[in-house]
Amino acid sequence: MLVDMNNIEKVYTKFHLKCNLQVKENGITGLIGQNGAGKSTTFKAILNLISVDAGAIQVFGKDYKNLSRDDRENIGIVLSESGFSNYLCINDVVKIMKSTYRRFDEAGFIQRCEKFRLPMKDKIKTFSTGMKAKLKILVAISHDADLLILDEPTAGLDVVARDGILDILREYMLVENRGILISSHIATDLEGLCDDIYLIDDGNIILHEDTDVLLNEYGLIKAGEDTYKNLDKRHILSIKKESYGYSCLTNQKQFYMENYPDTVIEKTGIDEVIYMTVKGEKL
Amino acid sequence: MKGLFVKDLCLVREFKKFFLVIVLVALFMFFGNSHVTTQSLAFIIFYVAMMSAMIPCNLVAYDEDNHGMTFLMALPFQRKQYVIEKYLFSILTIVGSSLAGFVVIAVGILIKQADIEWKAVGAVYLVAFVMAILIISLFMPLRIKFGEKVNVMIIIICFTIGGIGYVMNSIAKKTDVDVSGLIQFVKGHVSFVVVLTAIIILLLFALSVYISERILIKKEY
Repeated sequence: MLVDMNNIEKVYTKFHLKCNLQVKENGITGLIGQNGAGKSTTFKAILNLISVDAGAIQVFGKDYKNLSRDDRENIGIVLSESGFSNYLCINDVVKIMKSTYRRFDEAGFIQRCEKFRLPMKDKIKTFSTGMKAKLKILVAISHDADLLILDEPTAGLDVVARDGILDILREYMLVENRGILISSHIATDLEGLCDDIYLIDDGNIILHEDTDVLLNEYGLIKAGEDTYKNLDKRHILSIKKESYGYSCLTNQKQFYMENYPDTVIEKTGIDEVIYMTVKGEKL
Repeated sequence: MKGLFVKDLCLVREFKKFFLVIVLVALFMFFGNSHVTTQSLAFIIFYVAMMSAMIPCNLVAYDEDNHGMTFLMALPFQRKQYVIEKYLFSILTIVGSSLAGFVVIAVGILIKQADIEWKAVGAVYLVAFVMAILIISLFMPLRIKFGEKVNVMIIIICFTIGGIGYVMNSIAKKTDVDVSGLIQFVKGHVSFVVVLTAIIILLLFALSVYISERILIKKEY
């Protein structure tokens, strides 16, 4: 296990994080939630940037507060809204990384910067949001880390650039025993990338599921009033009143397709699951 | 810690205007006046020492830019190392700037063939170094604790120190306090005063490092 968060709690005046989360080797774990749901707080807890009020966190099987220098070098980091000072240029970043990470791949890093057309001599403050996001990712994957902790790495990127970054992450995962914990508020980014997904809302993990299960076994039943009355509700996770009747989220789509052949059952994307889980009424 | 050092060396480039000003002020002092006095040299020496003492404190602000401290604290450094590096870098900045200033002064003196009391220049350097260390010891923990808000605090502290000095001076004048005895004592016990000052400064510096470490270790990002 690369990361194991067990019953973590962090209490702020107006926010309470309660979190259980695991990141396994050879897997990409996604953390999805709205802005302010607790994604960054979760990442900061893992990285020991904030203290936690309860629970235990293990990284590489060790207590997160007792990681050795080697362990910490083995983590690649992207933090949303945080990075190297805007007054530095990429040439400076190269020097800093070379002096900080013993496995820093200078040639590979420079090559990727050139591929993404990032200027080496300009100060970071002159970069666009997209260029800054690319630089952060390239830094995170530049030192042969086994674990990547990526908080909103695709924020501010256009669709093409986002695909480019996601391709880099797929390539990174070709080496065995690596793992990624990635967050985003754009669900579609993570649908095609993650092996499992945690959904966080208002500080609570409200859903954890394999991505394949989410995409193939979850469904949205569009039921009129009469159909809804007669519907077997054992596998309904949440409902929402609509003008035509009810939308019902299920994780047993096949069951309802076989037993209610005349009812409309739509395939769900992660966005629909999030929407129904957060806004729907639980049964 | 080497990475932090390299980062600060890269960021110190932002202060090139400051170093240019030093050279221009020194040039003006030497070639704008017909006589070069120990007093005018003292101004350059103090200016260099005080300003170079503020550079490391301002480097913390550059680290905080782009919420950079959160990122830095996630890199493979201990928070303790960040603090130690900042203080080491402070000493290097003061010594480096003072040496550069000395080269400018020495060249100026040689060109102008000025008659300077080198012993007095040495004493001024010593006092300026002590003052610079005091500035860092005072402001570094404040800078780490309060971030940008510390700029206002620096102004308040400077005015408070100035005010206290003014009041003490007024009291001394009104009550006819005679400080000549103290001056005589210092002149008669130079080695003792220097050693005592060095010990006090070292203790203050060590206390400042300790306080900064505690502040940073407790800080949440």
